[in-house]
Amino acid sequence: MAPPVGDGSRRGAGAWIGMALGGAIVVWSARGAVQVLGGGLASLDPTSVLDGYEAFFFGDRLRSFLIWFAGGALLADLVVVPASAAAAGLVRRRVPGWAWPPVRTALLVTATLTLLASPMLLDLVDPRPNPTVRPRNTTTGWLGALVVVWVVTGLVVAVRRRGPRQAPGTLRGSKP
Amino acid sequence: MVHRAAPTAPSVTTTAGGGVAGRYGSSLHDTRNAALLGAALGIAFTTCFVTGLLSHQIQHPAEWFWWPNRPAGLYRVTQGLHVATGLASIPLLLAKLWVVAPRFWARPAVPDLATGLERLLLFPLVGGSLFLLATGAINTLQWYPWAFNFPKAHYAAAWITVGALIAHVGSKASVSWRTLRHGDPSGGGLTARAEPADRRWFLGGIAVAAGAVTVATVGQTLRPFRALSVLAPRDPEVGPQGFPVNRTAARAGITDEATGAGYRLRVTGRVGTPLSLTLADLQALPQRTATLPIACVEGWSASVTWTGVSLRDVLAAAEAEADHDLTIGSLQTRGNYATSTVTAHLAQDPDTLLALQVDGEALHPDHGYPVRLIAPNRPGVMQTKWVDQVVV
Repeated sequence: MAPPVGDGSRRGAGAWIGMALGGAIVVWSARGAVQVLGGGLASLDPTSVLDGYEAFFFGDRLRSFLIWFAGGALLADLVVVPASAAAAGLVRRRVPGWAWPPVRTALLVTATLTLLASPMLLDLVDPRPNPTVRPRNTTTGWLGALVVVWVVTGLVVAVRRRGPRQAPGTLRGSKP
Repeated sequence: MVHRAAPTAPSVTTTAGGGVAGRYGSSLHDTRNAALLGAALGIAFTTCFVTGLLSHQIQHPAEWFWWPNRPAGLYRVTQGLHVATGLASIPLLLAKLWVVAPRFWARPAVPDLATGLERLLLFPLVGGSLFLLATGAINTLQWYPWAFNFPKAHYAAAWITVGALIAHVGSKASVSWRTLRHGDPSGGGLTARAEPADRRWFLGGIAVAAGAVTVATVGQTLRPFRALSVLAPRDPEVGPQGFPVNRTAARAGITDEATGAGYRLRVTGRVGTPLSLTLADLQALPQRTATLPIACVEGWSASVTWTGVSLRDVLAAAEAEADHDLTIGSLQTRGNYATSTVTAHLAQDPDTLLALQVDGEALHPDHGYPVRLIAPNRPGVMQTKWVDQVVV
């Protein structure tokens, strides 16, 4: 039997009130965004992509907003999450079961710090407006942070390896 | 890039739907994880929303809004919390999206009207959440890879996201309550069941990631962490006279001529005696010293010892009418924030200064030489630099 795909039967009045109120705020706020950011139908003109990168991303405030708004959701759901899961799966197959939880934590911390540092690591950021902005060498700091993360992870893994493998209620005995 | 995990233990059950959804085989894709991460994100986003609204109201006050002069560092706390909470939400949000990913691929996509509406409202929720975190983080780098005005777009996206969040909480409250309170994980469409130990490791890992982001950045406002905050966009001790600058004199179009011998501070408007004061005139007035934070909307802050003239003394000398808000004008010729408003009650605070010195030295040009406004409990963008006008 196929598992359930919806849970509509569980919804009560609260769900409908929440969706009505929240939906109204979304519509009202989206209308406000269009008013504040300007633009209009021209923002949605798909042929603007033919005018080149600069014109497409920076030629219209509302279009720029929509690209960032929709682009984030699409990128996360269609690329980042599936790719992360696939990459984690690849690493997972090469790590013993008892070592995987701390390694997974280290991967998550590594990914988050790398994501945060990526505009600077990839040199995407505009030149500094003054020397007090981004005063540190990001690459050195990022590498240093990752060294700390992986050294600590190595210690945790070593402790887990020396501990009992089959302790009940733990994952030490889990097979890959 | 690896954000999170595949299973530690073999999957206990399948997740909703086949196809792509079936490839998310981890037992961690369960309702309890979704509910716990949802609750954490709900708290984090509410914190960001409330502190963000405060910052917006301080800068663009509604008629009903009132903001106290004290504690002097309150804005430093609320805005520091806003930025730190937003940054710490990044791993939370990515983990949440991964936990519920099987639902994204569930088919049919619209089995009934309620689910269809709920899924439709996930677009503003996910799009808005990612928009807020991404643009907020990028803005702290003073990098603007977009065409819109950041504060306006961030504000609009915040309301869109909160509306979608209210809808989501409404539709998921019952399922979340059952799983968190009564241990019934049957709702929500996620059919996997995580082992307790794996759940602890998974959620603990997310907490560690959120903590790592915080430690790596919070030193821009919490000085004890500054050595550890290797990814912070600012160091509160780096800058002319030992603290950072947002807009330099050069970028604001400030010339030596404007700040030289011809400089005058003009006090006009509803005053009995309009004033035109030279720098020497201001130096001859009674001086007051106060240690007040400079707290930027971008999340950095620093405590600085300022010396200057109490604004209320200048207003008294000009015989200004009481109970009026003031407009502070600047020599700045380029960029936003060339003027700011000082409320009548803030103008009467003795520590609201027309500052002339930092730590006993004349202000550095990038900090507003010859005169800058510094007042308690106020965003840095409203601490107007290169002040040349006070209009009552």
